[in-house]
Amino acid sequence: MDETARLRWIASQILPFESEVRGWLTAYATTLDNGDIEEIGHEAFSRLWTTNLTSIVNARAHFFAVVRSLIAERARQARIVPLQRMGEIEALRVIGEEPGPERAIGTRRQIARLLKIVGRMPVQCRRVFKLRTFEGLSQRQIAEAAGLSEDAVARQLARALSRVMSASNESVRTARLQPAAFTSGRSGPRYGRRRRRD
Amino acid sequence: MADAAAAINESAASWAIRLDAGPLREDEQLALQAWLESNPRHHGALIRARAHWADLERLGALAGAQEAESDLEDLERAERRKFLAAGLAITVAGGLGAALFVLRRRGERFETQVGEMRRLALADGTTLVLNTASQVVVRYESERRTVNLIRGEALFEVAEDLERVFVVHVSDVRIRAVGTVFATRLRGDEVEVTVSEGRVELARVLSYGVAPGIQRVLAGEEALILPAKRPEVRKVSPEGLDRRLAWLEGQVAFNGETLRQAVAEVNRHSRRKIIVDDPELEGLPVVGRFRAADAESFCRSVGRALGATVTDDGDIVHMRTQRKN
Repeated sequence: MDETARLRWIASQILPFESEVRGWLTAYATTLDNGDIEEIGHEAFSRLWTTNLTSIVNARAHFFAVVRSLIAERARQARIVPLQRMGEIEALRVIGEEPGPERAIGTRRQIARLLKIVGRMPVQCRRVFKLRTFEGLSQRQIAEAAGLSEDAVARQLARALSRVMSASNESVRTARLQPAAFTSGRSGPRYGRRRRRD
Repeated sequence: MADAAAAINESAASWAIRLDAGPLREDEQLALQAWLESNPRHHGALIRARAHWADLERLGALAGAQEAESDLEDLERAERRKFLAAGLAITVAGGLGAALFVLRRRGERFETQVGEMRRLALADGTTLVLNTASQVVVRYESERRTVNLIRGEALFEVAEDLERVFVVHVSDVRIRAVGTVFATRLRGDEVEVTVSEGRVELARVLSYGVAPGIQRVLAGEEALILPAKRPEVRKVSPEGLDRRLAWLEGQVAFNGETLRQAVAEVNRHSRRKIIVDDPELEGLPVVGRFRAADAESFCRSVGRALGATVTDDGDIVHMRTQRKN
């Protein structure tokens, strides 16, 4: 699989279970705080990337297994492990191995959810996002058509992507009473990293 | 901790978008490398963001196609309601229902009957010509102009508007044009696109998203898109283009097509249908230009050339091989 195919595979096979895994960790791995869960999430994607994806039969079970082994590795590395956590790791094994109901939601509902998020985007952000994804224009074409710099287009798109990613965590947020833990600040992303070209 | 995660996700989103724009410059490559090395979890965060982006590209394309499709559903619902409202208005004498429905209406539908041709001037200066037995839904919004070809054939002389893209949806094919003249036809599940000025870009919107690879079609080219196949693009000679667009003058033109193909074309335009009763005759080539909606004169002149007899049976014109006595 080339890079695009691998990304698409992860998008279609893993992302549908992302909120389920988070929800599970949030509800049962109570010795982990939200920052830990986020970090484990990132590490899980990194590990998936180095796996031969074509050999994976059950993506959901594999995703759970990766997360579980990451938690177990942490436990081994830590000097003091809460006794409770060992039990949690066992509990995660159970959920990972059961065949599990098909939790992935249908395309129609995914589209409806996307339209909702898009509807809440600021005007410029929405316009650029729709041109890129709904109409399939390249970033350069959008910059030309909208009279924006390519950097400005990229900024709007990054904003849109951040919104979508944090919205995908929102359903889990209510599981534990620590709001704002999974979401980025509402004030919008910071772009200190990239300098603007003039 | 959670704030750190949010900051990482935002940086990851920016890099995912930067990678979507094309290859990195050298300094950008170094910056990405530095960012990835500064924290082992950055790598996973970037993959996650890129996977989300890949998912959005897929969903967005579907949402775009679905909006065009739901326009039609909305329109049909609205038309049913209008019908009901008309009935209601007689009894209640209240036009409120109808007024509400007009506000809700999102697209406008245009159609032609068999043998009819319509030339429409759209609000932005675009000309749309509908060939026989065709139907479109036109929807203009602040950021885009969308036309859904539901059946038949249409020609577009697209007025350039850099603020708004012009997109035509035909079956699962998405055609994007800027300042272009092109025609598209839906024939069963095949889509034809003929470009006479400028260029268009074709993409296929499938149930799982946009098929990889956008196909450009330039002036003087036509594309044939069969289900589940890559578009076939070929050059068309100026005469070929002229024949292809003969319908704009209410004509059909052939240059060696079989009688079967020619008759199918004439029957598309004519209320009186032609039936060829002889399979051998059907395979013979036809050359010439004919009035599109005149089945009878087509049969008479082609019959003379091919040595066929023509019998008129009211709604149907028959062609047979002449008996050699």
